Amino acid sequence: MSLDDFTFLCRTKIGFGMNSLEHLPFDLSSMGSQKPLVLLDKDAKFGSTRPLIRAFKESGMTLGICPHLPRDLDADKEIEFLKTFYKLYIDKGFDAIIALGTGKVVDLAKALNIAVTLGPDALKTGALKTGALKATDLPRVTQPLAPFAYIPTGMGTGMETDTIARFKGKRFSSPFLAPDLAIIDPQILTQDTFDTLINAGLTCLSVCCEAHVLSGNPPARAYCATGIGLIMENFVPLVSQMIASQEAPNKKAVKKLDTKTAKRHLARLAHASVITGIIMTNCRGLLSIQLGKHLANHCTASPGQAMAILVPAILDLMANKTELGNLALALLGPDEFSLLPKPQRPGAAIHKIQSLLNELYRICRGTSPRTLADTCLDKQAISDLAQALFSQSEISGTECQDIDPKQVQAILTHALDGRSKDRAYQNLS
Amino acid sequence: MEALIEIKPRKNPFQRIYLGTMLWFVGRAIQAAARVDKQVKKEFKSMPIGYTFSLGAFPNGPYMVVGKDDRGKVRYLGNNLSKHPVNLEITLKSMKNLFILFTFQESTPTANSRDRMIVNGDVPQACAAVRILDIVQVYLLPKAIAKLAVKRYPRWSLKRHTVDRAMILIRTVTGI
Repeated sequence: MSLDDFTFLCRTKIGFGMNSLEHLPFDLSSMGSQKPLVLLDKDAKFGSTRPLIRAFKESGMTLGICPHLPRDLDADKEIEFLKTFYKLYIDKGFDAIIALGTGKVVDLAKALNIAVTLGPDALKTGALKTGALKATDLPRVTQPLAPFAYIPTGMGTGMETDTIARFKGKRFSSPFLAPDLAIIDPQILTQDTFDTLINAGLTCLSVCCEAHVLSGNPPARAYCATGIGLIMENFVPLVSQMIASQEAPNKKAVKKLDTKTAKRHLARLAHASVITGIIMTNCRGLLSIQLGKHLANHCTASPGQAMAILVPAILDLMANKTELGNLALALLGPDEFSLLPKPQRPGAAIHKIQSLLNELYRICRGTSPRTLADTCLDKQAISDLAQALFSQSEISGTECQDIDPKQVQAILTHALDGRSKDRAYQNLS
Repeated sequence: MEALIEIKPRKNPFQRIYLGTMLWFVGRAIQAAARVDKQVKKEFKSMPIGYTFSLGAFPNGPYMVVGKDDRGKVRYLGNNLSKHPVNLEITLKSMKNLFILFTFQESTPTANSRDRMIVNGDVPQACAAVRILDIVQVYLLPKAIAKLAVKRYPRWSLKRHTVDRAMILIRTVTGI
């Protein structure tokens, strides 16, 4: 790891805690906005906007609340929604965008922001009709956009606060695409669905762990340590609680009792996902993301699960022992870390990630995979899969590592049954 | 597709009336404390003649304006910011934040640490204004509530707790 050259960008102001929504009118107003348009996620019903509307009381601002996005939002519908929102934004004179929710609604809000600031033509690019994306083909967003606030209603995967927007299969990248504000207020959080939470939690953990060890960016590593701490403290308790409340005979009693604790856990996890987006912005080309999202197309795991299965293998094969040892501090906490002799720390860090996956497997009654073997992936297919992933994921020449197909194969072999690095390479030879 | 809903969030008359009353009372109490309490007098002495400060909520108040007149006397100047040029503005980011502060759910330092306040003016004078506010709150509120409003409840003499407090309360109500 070289600490000589790095840049760190964090354009997003994070507001966290009870009543943090109350600051939103002031913050928007200080950016010159008086009439924000609210885009709602598929899960955000009109009722979930109540805390938001309450926060705007006495502010003198007018809120426009769009209909919420449908669950099955395909590319055609995405365009249709964008056109409608664009027309509303222009016709009614809105001057800021608030995305309430996680995932696609944030991407749509970013695309809308490009369209309303730079004109709808900015979203059209002839070079990207088909084929692989190239950095030079990406449309350029070179000027500040309209004020944009992101209010999560659950845990996101981190792409929400990243400087990338995905729309209609295109990727727009610009520092101006990051939200100006991210407000995490427990009163607006709604319980995530189980699968979404697992996917988001494991994605964030993988990104934070890999960036902590492999990135040479000290501020980003500090963010990673915070993100890992938040996830390790809140993720498993929340998942366990969700399972317990689903299986309890008297659901109402359990729900009432645990809602406050669950919201506290969820708020901290939402904070971790906001941090993850900032880490993604500053540490491009993380292998776990590149490989994980493509690997998910070839097996039964979600992208987050695939990333978490791959991360121990990536770290074991590529990381410097000292840096990997330092990861143990974030994963285990200072008390447990201080008890470990230095040579045991790298192994303990990897073991901790693997044992988290094992714990999830136990909590989820075997539905969450621990290794690639649990995802119906065949040992014989590893070689072809490695080649396919290498070509699909454009990982050659990434910022973090120079990697070849053989190393991808070693990572997959390692992740197939969670075996150690030496055995993974032995298997190759 | 459902239609767009445009909402102009309603006002909150209860909070506005409560805060208006509290700010009126605190403003008059500051005026009274500046005549009775030595520490408040000393704080105001460090401020120049004609210096005014306000406390209120963004964007439309309510506000309280207090200032030193030409003769150096401290006066509560009302609730209208536009009538008086203000040297120091202490503004809470929303009326709800001011309500939280004046229902003593949060102390002034806690509100400040949670980024609920903005100061437009000299920081040393803002610190003095906050110290004055703390002293006045100790005078006006029963100990149990005042403990929630200030960072540390002060150890005062019996005279200050009884005679001075009574004087300040009388002067606040009568406006003398």
